[in-house]
Amino acid sequence: MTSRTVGRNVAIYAVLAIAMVFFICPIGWFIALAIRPPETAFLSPPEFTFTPTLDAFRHILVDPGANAPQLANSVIVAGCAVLLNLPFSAPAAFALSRFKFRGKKNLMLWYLGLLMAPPVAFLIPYFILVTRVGLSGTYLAMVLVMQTLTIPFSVWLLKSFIDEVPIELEEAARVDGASWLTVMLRITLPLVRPGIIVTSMFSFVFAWNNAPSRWC
Amino acid sequence: MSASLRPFDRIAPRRQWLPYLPILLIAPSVVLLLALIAYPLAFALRNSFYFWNLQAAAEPLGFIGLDNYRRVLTSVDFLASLRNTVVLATVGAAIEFCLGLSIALLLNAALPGMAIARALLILPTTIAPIVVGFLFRYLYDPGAGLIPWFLRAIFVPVPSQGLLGSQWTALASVMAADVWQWTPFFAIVLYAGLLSVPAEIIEAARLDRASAWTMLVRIRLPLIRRTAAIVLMLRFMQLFNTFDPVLVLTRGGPGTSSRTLGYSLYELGLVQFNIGLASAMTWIVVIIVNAFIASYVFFAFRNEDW
Repeated sequence: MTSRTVGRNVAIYAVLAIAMVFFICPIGWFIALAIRPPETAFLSPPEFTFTPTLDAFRHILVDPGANAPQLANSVIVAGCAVLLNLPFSAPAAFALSRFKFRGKKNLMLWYLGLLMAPPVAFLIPYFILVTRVGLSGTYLAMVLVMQTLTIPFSVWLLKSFIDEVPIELEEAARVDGASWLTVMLRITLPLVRPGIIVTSMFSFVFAWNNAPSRWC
Repeated sequence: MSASLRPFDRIAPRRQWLPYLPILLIAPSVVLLLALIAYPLAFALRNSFYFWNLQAAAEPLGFIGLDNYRRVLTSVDFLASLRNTVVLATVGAAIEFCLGLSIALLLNAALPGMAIARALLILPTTIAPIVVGFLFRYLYDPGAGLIPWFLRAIFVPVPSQGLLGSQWTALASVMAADVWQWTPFFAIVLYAGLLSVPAEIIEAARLDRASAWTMLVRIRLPLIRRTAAIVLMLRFMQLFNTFDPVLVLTRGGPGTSSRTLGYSLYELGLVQFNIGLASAMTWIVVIIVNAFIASYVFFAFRNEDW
């Protein structure tokens, strides 16, 4: 290794280290806030040494009026959102990846455009719609509303995963007389299982993080 | 045989319904999505022509034509939030793209230990935006916050009302929180794009003595153009809809200095319950957003084929 490459590598590590400090320090500070005694949280200037305590965790998980049930709600809603989303998005992603048809580009961009709709603008209409249909306060209402986010997102991500699967396998199955549905269910989707898992994880995080839909 | 041919071009359809198969596969998702977005949009369109405040009545009070639109378009709040939103979305997305690309290029050097950096980098992106808002509220706290303390330590003046309390720094502070959360997203996606650039091309350019800058601008960027264009558009529009961090950090203040369109919509609809005005603003925002997307798509994806 020449001295020039060594110098270059040191520079790369140094810049990357500064970037990591910038991105990781706030998280470390947040963790420190969670485990420090409350009366030391707002000392000015900031205090860096303290005796750690888990009181805050006990308070939100165990104490009366704790937030544990809300945690369960979040898990149920985000989990169901992912489960409902796959039967809709997986066939669409397969069709968009494997078939050529007119208007495909516009359809892809339409899905993308949905991801960009201002969520706050839809709150009141959804609130009134959900109340009229008699679904207010149910998990189903929240799960349905989240599909406007999770379906477009999953279609895009899954399509890119299916694009990577070699089409020769599907052709072989076709030549052997399998129908397209059989090909999709028995060959393509099992092959993109890692992609489906990744997509589900991201959709879960999307649904989990989506605060505005909580008003429904 | 060229690899770009799809199987469907080669195997003749056997049954009459086969041409409709893609439509059948796509239809369920499109129908569900249309059902979910058509109602809110139609609801907003109808009510944008009515005077209706939920605090005053459970039903619309009277038809007032385009009056709601006129009031929105001439209100100081709307114009200020439109300006803030455009600044936030363009400057924020540009900063995130440039920083993210730089980090992606660093990661692309593939030195030992970078897998750890990559794994840690994903952390900010996985936190809910509203939690990031709370995190930065602590970090910006004028007394105990880490950021004012750090800025003072390196002799950068901090406004006495705090970074979130001054009209000159409030919007920038909201933007900084977003840059912190979403730059890693750009870094990871663009890094994945850079990985797919064939090594032979880079090698050939190196033999031709291309400088690092030429290599980036003439080879790497054009090859990851589509990925870059999509994430940039996605992020721009998400920034355009910024709401959670504004709610937690500044509530649009001081004055209107950090008010965004998302926050204005929230305040009109869910604080003042003025459904008529909020509906009119919804449609104005929908039209603006669509104009942005259409022009962006026209310029960025003109020659693309999926």
